[in-house]
Amino acid sequence: MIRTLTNRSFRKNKGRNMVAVFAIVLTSMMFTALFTMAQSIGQNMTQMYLRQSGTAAHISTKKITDAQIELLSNHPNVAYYGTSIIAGIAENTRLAGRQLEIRYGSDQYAKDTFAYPTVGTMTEKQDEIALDTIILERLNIPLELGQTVTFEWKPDINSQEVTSSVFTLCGWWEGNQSSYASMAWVSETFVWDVCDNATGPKTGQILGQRMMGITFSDSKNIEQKTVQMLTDCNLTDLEFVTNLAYSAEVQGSILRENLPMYGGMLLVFIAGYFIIYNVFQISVASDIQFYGRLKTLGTTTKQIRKIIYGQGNRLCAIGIPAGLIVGYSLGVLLVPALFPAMETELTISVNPAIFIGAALFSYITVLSSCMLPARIAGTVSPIEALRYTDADSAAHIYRKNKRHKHSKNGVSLSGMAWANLWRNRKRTVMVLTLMCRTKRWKRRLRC
Amino acid sequence: MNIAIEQGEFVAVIGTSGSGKSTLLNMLGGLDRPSAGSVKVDRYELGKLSDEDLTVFRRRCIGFVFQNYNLVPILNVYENIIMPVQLDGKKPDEAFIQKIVTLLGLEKKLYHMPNTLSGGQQQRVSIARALAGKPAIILADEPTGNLDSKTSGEVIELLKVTSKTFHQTIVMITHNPEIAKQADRCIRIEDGKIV
Repeated sequence: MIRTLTNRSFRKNKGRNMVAVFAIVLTSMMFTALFTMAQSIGQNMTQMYLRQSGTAAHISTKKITDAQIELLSNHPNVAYYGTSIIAGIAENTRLAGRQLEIRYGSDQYAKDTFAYPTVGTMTEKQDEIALDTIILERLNIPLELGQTVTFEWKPDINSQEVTSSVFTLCGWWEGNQSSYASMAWVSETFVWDVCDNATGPKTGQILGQRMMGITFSDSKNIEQKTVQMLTDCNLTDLEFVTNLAYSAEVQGSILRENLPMYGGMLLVFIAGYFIIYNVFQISVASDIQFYGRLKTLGTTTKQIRKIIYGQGNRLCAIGIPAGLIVGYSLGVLLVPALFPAMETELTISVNPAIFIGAALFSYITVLSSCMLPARIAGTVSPIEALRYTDADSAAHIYRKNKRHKHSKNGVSLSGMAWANLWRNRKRTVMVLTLMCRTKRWKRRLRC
Repeated sequence: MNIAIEQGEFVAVIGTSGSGKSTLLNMLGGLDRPSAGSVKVDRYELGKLSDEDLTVFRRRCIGFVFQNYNLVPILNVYENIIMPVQLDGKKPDEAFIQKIVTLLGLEKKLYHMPNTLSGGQQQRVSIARALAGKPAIILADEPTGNLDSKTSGEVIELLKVTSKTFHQTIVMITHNPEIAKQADRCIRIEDGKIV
């Protein structure tokens, strides 16, 4: 019976439903847009810091042996890792002003250093090489796989002797001008060959220097995890550097950037609450005789509240999904405006948390807005309900304050309109407050 | 006023307009609370019951027939009749409801909405609803006010039969002395006092 009453009441109030759905769509849209922007700000700022630090790995070291790599790679804390072996620095005259490091790198290492080929592959054959577009442009090499690339470089950095090595281009990616150097990925066989299968660099040399980047399962307590890992492997002398992008200071600065979004969410909640509350309050007031009748016929307070919440749920089922879609689209449009000077490609977050969070916040807003009207409807006295109108609250005040109005000026339309505004003083104040907030937001958005 | 009504009694309440008949009925049904004194129905002291308990008491123990019918406009006739039973989470006695519906001539109107019915038909639906849950007490405010004499007679007869069968107590407001005569007892009220 309650479900029947809920469905029929819902269908009867088409006008109220349209207004409420519109309000819920707006609320949900704003929450989604703000969540999208907050998440995207976090992601893009983290990306920015990661690119500045040169790697996405949680920790990295520049001096490590193969045996140490083997030990650490098997530790349970390690989610994944990347390794690299340096060959040397390119000396081509065309590359003056841009450092190019010739190295072998594992796939993960290349991905972590934002240098993984987007066209072609990493090296498979001994004479293959993968480069970024900055280097290819400088060397005047067309962006075509199979092109021949020649590099001059010094196996011994202390010597003047330059070696020329010829490679075939097997892959390339979009270079980043803001990174400190470009990478030239060569095969592991090539590097082993040039350093005569040595397991480490000679003193004062970089040829054969091993590097490692480690990523844990999550970015919490990176330093504690590092200490635990090194202690467990008996490698406490090994020095790992924590990626600054994951430091508390940087995360704090990202959080501070998001504060306006969270402030916006609070405003959206307040505004959404007031609008939807008003809609339900007016709806309950106009249907108070209906609820009184239900009370008379044996519907309990709890059951009447269920009817109102049930209607709220149906409105949410329509309004929230629509708001999520529109809000996400709005977020996608607004995120670029937050990063006008971004050199690399912007990431728009598609984290499910956005939609779950926005839907939850919107639902809580609607639920909160229904609470008071549901309580009013539920606790209505059956006899009082037969006599209830909006004027009752004004009538109560009238009796309390004993105001009298002796007017001999007759009646005018504007006079009646003015008097009507103050029949329900509370509602008038709420609507005016809401209009002022809306005006203030419009001004802020324009700025 | 001091009134005592025994279980199974059929009491008619008569009096002029504004004498307090409806107020008495509302207080007996827990719709209104007395300013002073107490109302005891069966083992329930209505003044001590909470709002929620009063509603449940009304639903289970009272069958109300209102002067203005008080039908739920968004439910059809059948749904209006079984509403108090279903609100209590129970299944309606279909055979019994069919019997009431047949007696009150509502078979063809069972799935119509109240706004398509005449005043008399709406009153019959109201009576059917009051009887459907087999409550202990029927409070009827002018139940035959909009009915023709034949149906009025049938309705009063039905009320008396169900009263005897289910040991129901009936308190009925009426202006019709003929109907009032059919009651076991007649109470006259003037200015809120029993005359």
